[in-house]
Amino acid sequence: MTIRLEQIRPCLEGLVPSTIATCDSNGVPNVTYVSHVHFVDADHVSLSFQFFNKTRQNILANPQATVVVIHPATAAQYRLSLLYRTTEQSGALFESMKARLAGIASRYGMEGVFRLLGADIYQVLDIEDISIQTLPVPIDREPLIAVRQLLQELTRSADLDSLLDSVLNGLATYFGIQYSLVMLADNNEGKLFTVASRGYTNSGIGSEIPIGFGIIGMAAKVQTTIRIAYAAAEYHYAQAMRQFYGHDQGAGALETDISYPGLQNPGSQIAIPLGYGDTLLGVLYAESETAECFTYQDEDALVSIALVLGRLIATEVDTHSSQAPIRPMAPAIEKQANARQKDPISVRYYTRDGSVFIDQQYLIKGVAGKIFWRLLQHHQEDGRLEFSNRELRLDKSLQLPEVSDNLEARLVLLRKRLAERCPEIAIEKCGRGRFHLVVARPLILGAEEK
Amino acid sequence: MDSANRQRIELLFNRSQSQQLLLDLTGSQALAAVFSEPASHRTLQIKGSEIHPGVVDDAKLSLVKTAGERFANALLELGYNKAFTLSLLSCRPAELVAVSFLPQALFEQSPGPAAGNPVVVA
Repeated sequence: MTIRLEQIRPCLEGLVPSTIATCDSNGVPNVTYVSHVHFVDADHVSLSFQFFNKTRQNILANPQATVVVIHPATAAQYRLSLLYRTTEQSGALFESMKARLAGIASRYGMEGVFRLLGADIYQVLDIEDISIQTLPVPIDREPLIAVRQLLQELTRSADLDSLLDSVLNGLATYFGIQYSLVMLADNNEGKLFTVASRGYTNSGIGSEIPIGFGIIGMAAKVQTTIRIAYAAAEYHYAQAMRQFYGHDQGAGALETDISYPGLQNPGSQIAIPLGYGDTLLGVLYAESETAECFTYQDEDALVSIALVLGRLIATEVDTHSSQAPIRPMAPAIEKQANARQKDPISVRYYTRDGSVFIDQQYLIKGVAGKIFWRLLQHHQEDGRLEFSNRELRLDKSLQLPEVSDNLEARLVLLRKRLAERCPEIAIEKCGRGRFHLVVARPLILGAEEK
Repeated sequence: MDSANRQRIELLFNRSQSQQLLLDLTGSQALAAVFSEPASHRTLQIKGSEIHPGVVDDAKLSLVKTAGERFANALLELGYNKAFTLSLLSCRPAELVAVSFLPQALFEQSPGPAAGNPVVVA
């Protein structure tokens, strides 16, 4: 029976070292260990090119190679006949392999030694089972049923807020993923901001990271899934931020008052870009304290979910329509009426960066800060409590970009920051593209230039 | 190591796993073998020629068993369970074949930029 590459994917996870044999143009053989044979597609694998060694010289002179890979659970061995095709030194495959290799290096205490120079892509000509004795195949989880259940819930979500909660809760319920978050992209500013998180002590809603740094930033930049099976320091948040601040900074000013919620030293990480067509929308990220937590099956499942999530974010949720029924205003008005008897809240706004402080405590800045200030101004001027996304889009003072303005995401961010920091002021959806401002105490507003 | 003159190295293969290799050895008379100590990552590659077939006797079978046990114990510390390593190294005694060669060159193969450099034996 012909063996297909998909059938031996457990062997291509970098869990057990492989060996590669090549020959030079005179037929002199060379054999060496290789830390990782990476699954590219049904017909191709890529090998890490780390040093200009004999294997490298040989495949350039004679592109035939033989690799033996080992199943990490059953000890089955497969011999692959390969033909060297090309080398990639940047882009999606390169970055995905580079991150994977960083994890493998950390596992073997080889940080700083293993360094990816290129992803050597080989066509797989033949696969031969050369096992003598194998262990039983372990009973595996079945991720497809989890995908089915999660997607059923996802497609029932009415708005961005519930969609994001639904996906992160679903990852916990159906995949046992304890820590996860969604960051959405501000492509104009070259950064991502946390809009939903689950499992962390500090929600980190509103925290930002630059596109291109760390596992999340890199998954966003090259728009590919990055999965790391071991603690890889160079992909941890702290290290990524050190790299960013030591770098010529392309991204706009980052939010530094809200801390990134993620684990300081994750054992396993997976970052999956969310997109719509070629447009980057954000990143779905999951992590675990333990190593080897996410398999290629989890990756396939999460990528499938992310494809649907991206489309739902782009097309279903953030519409300008206001056809959905509007909930009665009564509760909001009641709260508003009671508000007059209570102590006032001081809200200060700084025009320079759109930052907002409530009773001297930092709330938010940037686009979400500007939107909040605009809502409070309207409220102060004419007592308004109901607003529409459409009027905010048309409001020139907010200077929202014409394309992919992320307005719905900014409102989710603002709603969550208020819920955490100042529950006396709330934003409540009251229909598609419409929301109420609920103010439970009187406000004293003040704006400053600096 | 061939105990008669300590000049040659003998390797033992499962025939069913190595049919093409055995044909290639006959044709090319050239061989490369890699040896690694997993705990330290110290790795060497030996290239050789003058390939000769050998016999597999009880003494060699016993060596295969002992070496397998030692390797499995060494890998245990690196997180590979013993059943896994012994399955990986399993053989059918009846189909083992022995091949010896004369080492010609030794290369550093420990991970790092020096991998591939010739090792000069004093």
